[in-house]
Amino acid sequence: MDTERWRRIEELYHSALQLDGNRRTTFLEQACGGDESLWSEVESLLAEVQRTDDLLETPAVDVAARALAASSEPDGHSHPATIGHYRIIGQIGEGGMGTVYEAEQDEPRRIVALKVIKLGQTTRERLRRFRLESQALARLQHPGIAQIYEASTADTGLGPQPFFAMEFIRGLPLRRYAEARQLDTRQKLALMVKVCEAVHHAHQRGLIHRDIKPGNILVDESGQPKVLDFGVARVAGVDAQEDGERATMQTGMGELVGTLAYMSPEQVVGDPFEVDTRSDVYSLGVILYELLSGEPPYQVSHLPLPEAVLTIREVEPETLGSVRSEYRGDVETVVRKALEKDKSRRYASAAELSADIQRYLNEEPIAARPPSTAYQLHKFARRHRAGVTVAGVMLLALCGAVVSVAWEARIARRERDRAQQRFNDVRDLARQVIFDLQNKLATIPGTTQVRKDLVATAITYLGTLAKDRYADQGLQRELATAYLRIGDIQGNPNKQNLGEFAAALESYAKAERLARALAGPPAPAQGQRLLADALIAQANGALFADDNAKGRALAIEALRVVRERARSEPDSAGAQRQLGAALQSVAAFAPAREGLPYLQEEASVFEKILAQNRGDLDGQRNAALAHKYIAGRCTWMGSPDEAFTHFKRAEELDESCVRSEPNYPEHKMDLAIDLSQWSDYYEQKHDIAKAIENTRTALSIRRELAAADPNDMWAQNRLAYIVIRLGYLQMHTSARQAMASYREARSIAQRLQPESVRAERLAYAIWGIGDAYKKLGDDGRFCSAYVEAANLYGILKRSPLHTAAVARAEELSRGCTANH
Amino acid sequence: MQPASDEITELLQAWSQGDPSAIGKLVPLVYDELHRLAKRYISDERPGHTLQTTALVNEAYLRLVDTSRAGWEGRTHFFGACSQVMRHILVDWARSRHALKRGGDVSVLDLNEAIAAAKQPGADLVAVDDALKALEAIDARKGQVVEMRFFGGLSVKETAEILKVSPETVQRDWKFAKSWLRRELTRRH
Repeated sequence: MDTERWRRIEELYHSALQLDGNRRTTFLEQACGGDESLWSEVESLLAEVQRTDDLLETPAVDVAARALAASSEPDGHSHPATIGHYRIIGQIGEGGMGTVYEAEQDEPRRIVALKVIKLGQTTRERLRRFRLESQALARLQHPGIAQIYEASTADTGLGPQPFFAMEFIRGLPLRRYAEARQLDTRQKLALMVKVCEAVHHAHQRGLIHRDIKPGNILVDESGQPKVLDFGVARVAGVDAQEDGERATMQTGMGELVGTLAYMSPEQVVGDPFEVDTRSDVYSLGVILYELLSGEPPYQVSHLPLPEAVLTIREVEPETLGSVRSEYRGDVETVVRKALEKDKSRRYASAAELSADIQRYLNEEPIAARPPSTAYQLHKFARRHRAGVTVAGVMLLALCGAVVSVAWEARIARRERDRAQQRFNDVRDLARQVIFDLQNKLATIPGTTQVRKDLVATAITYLGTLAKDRYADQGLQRELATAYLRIGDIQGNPNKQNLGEFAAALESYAKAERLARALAGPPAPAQGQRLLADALIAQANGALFADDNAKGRALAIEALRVVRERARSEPDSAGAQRQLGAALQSVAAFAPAREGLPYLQEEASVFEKILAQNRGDLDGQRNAALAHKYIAGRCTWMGSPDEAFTHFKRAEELDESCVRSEPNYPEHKMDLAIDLSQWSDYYEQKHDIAKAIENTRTALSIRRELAAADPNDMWAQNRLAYIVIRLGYLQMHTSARQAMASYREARSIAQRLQPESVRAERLAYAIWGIGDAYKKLGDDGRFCSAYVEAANLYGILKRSPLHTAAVARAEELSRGCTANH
Repeated sequence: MQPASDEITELLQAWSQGDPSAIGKLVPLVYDELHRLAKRYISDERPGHTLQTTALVNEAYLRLVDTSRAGWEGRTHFFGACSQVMRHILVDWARSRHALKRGGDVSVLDLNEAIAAAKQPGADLVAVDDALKALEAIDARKGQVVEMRFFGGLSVKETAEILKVSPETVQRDWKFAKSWLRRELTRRH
């Protein structure tokens, strides 16, 4: 049909649709002007219109899915009556891409298992795989492998339908057979020798099975095991690449999990290049283990996939002998060697495995050796790389010597060693989490919650260990430290925290209780250190909660404990640091002028630490803090010039920290706080433009930090503060801009935690909004803002400041209502 | 392991760049999806509740494919490609079912099925495909509209975006094409 005509038809069709009845008929007759075929073409199309409402409106996928759902067969396909010259009796099994039928052959008359690719799914790739399998099987001639009779292609109307017929086995799966026949250890081992031989036969012909599991091994009446299902087998060295694609594409999650328990560590990560005949050896080891002990070495079926993979790759199974003591010694050693995670340490072939089992059965010495202590320690060290130091290497050598002497004495001893070992493993892990990992994570924005979860997990472990008979004071100290760390993450107002202040105080209190018990002999200084930390942390918490009386008492006790510690450890930099922290804490609860001497002592403590080591970041940060506090108090007392040198020094130190660790959020925040203090300074100097400029720079840093970790309440609170501060300064220049800032501050403040902080920031912001309304002349609104702010301050009303604020706000709102 | 979305993305990309073998690798994925949908129809607590059109493509593909990573010319190109892949795979699937039910002999029509097909033209994906090919030969854009709307499950608006025409044009094409296809489908029976 030419385009011209087609366009014409379409045009007439649409035009005619606008008309009805006679008008349509008249229109078409005129338009077609005697062109009969044009007329009938348009007319026939128009005739369809009423019937096309539903046509094609159900998408094709839906149509197909409904058809599939409506069909009676579970997967939409019925059994064909015959395939080739085989009569299908029924379906035996179904795998990822194949279906296995029980079928009857006439000549010779026998029952066969007939494997075909699922009908309708014969892609070229699958065809190729399928042929590869049947070709591989055809090369195998072994009593332990189901024999292939014929591989051919039938025509079922779908194009060529490849199939192969093989030996039909009447038997029981391996485990059920062993149970039904109540096999003893020797019989089980003898059975496994046969399985190994069959697998070795396949290996010798270049075929790796890759899916050996008890369900794939049938044992027939005569006791002959038959290895089945080479469906995922691979010809050694051939197309590993393509194979990898296939494995990930066609193996559904469930399917993989089903066989995961038998997969080797190199197989579970899905690297086809790593899989070789020793992967099958591993699977045989798992089967052996399960057959003997009744349990697989790992319970992975209930685990999420990543954990299951990790378990298979990292976790050492319980030794067979510890599950069933009768297997201690040679059997255990054989199974262990088959199950080595490092394939180079496994039996090199299934034949070697079967030979060793056979040796055991013949009561000859086995070839496998129990792993050496040095090797075990080495493995441990590899798992805990971070903790291994020169001392660790020395310890290793030492342990090696001691343990090898003691090796002979053993069983009861070994049990104990193992328990001790496990105890130490867990403890080391927890220690790494508390000391290394979470510190590293703290340098990455957005990890506050993760860090808390990590430390909480570590606490659970340590708490369990604390009940153990191996627990010592060291462990108690670690536990106390862990509580301090988690407290910081939960709600140390001066660090990245989650705003869970009440929980933080509880954690600190737990640390305090543990520390009090440790503050006496044998290591009083260690206990004192922890106790002082716990006290200081709680004092800081009290400062934030405006509980001055409590905070002051805590800080003073902390200072007493620290001075005592510093006397017993005069050379300890740690003790000096802590002295600085305690001084700061005491100062925080003192009025401006009285606090100054404490802060000055603090500054000199940290400056001394820096004099010894200029690169000491912690010293830098704390010295900067001390200078900042001094400067802040000076500004507040109206002596900005005195403040200046301290500001300068603080900023210099903070900038140096940022240079050393540019991504560390706390350093950036420190710098932002410096900027905010500069703005205070300039305000005192009546340079509002400079004050605003510094505030804006501080604001942009805080915005970035708050956005990087919305869970970090420190950052959110600092952000709310600086926006309020900006609003306050803008009141000097533009009430409208100030209003916008205060409004932003209000919305930030609404997200803050805990309630006391939220209320305070909100009150500031709303008060500011009231101020701005007042300046803009909106009397009605500024009144209601003051009332709201007064109510919020009323919630707080703990400190004199708040009480004064409530009074002022009430006064202001009274004043304005009186004016109306 | 779940089919990696990267892989599907790559397959779709490979296919759009002219590698016909990619489609073979996509087949099992779509089949899985089909079976999953079918199971939903069987077990759906609310019979008659059908999936939204775009939700389908979402279900079938977007669930698996990270379009933002795909390097497609945006979402629209991706949907367009999906529609073609869907058509190819679904029609093949339907063809294999036909062949199976008819014992390999295409000329022997199952009476019930013929009646069902007559009642509900469009339920026969193979017939739709054949008719669509005829339409494409005359008017490529109308063919695309049908492909995207029916096989791709795309809305009028989405189809318009991909074809860079107005939604009204798509609507007109769609209406005309349906009339034409219905006539074609009834003629063929």
